[in-house]
Amino acid sequence: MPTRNIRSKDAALQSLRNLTYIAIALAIIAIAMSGYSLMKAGKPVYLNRTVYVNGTKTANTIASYVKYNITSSLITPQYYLPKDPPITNATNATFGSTLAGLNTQLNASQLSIINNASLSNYEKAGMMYLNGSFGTLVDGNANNVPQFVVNGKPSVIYFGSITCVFCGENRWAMALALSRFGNFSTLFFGYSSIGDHDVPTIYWAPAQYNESGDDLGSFYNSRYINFIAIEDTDPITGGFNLNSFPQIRSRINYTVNLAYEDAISYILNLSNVPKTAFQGTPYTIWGASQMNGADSIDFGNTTGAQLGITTMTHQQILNEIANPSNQFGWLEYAGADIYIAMTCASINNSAPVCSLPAIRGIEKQNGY
Amino acid sequence: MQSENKARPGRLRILKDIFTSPAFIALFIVFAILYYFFIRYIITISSRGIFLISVPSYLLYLLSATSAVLLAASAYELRLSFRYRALALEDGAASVITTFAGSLVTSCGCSAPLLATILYGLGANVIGVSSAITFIAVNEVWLLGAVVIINLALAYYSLGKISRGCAIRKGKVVASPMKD
Repeated sequence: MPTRNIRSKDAALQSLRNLTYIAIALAIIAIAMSGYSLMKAGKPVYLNRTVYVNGTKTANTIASYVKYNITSSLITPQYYLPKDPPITNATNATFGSTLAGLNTQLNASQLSIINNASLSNYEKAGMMYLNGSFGTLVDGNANNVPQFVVNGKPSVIYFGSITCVFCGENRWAMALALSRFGNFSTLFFGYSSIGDHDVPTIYWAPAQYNESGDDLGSFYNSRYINFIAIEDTDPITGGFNLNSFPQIRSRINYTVNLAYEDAISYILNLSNVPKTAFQGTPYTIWGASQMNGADSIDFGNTTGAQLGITTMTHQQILNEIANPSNQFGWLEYAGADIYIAMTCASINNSAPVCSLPAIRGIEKQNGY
Repeated sequence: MQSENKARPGRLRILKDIFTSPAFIALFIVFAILYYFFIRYIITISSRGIFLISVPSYLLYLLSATSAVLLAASAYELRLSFRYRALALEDGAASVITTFAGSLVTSCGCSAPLLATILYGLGANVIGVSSAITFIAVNEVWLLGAVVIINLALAYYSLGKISRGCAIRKGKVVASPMKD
């Protein structure tokens, strides 16, 4: 074989080898950085910056978060979307690919299960969480952030997607938590996208389930807190999909609602700091506590090839919430307790639910 | 020289040599299982302890199997001659990298803490990260298929390298010194 061919092949081989070593090195660096980031816990990092005020150098430690204290109305959505009507028939009732009941309102007795849930359930579930009964299925780790104050009240900000499975399973716990500080005049039955496990859930407002959009607002009222809900939408028959932040921001700006415009800006601002950076949906802020992802993972009493919750109807889930009898039901309340504890810490424990011993214990244990 | 060229084994011959050896079969099975559990682990830590996937399971099995083939090939290179140690290490490393990449793709859903952390660590901003998460989640199946194809391509390339560096002597594949 000609010597020149062998030498050129050797050179190509050496190049490939070098590329591989570089790729390995980059991968190791990336893994090390991600491991370091994952290991970080506790309070946010404040950036050291030198500030000049009127030409004079002043204190050089500034929090990297922007604070909001604004006056604004909140968005109340429409009750009915002509392009996305309620699906009342159950012709496609195969679990895992059903949309039965999508966008229908909860009736009075169903709504009452959420709005009037028994305090004893919260207490019992909270104690189970403090005793470690739920293991890693409940995570109370949160990041301390400045409160987003609107009209003199701290806010709960929710950013999620109707297509997202974790948003779907966690809205039950969120609703149970919010109901302790106020009242829902209505909620809507929904699902996560069919491609993302079709988990039965509730929506804060009727969803634009046929198109790409953003559902803003809810039918929630509270004298303690604001609830700012930003729900990204994409066709429910697909899989998980999230519109880009510029697109979401543009749609929100179109509403000319200061609370929502600033809320999305706030989320983007928090994402400049690694610990509070957006890592997926749901992304929530409860008063002075920010949480990436759902606080509890409750997919039913069986997991594996098919999630237990996907074999339940909305009514069955509500029945279990009304009278919890197994892990699924208690886990919903435990997830709610975490959110309640964060909120209580932000309102000086002024709501009745804040006096529950379990809530006080969770606040203390998790350092809210 | 001509007879030596004729005695060079083809890729299929190398593959047959690997998969008729009990030791390499055992190595393949062990690493296929290990890689599968590694993929499960990555997905599980991204989903808070739940093994939650939106792709067909067979794609994960394919990913594990093709990565194990790549690893078996690298072990075969090592066995042939320590002269090929560097090449063997490349293939072994490649199998780990593709398995990890496939796991990240599969673990990507509406919540992707591991992937997001890596991307932020590499300097991406929130717009880039959310776009990447969405792109990967939407195209999961295709991307996973692409990783499997990359594994197959790397295995094909690896077998070709081995083939060029070997000869058949008395019916056995042996390392053949390269001529300058």
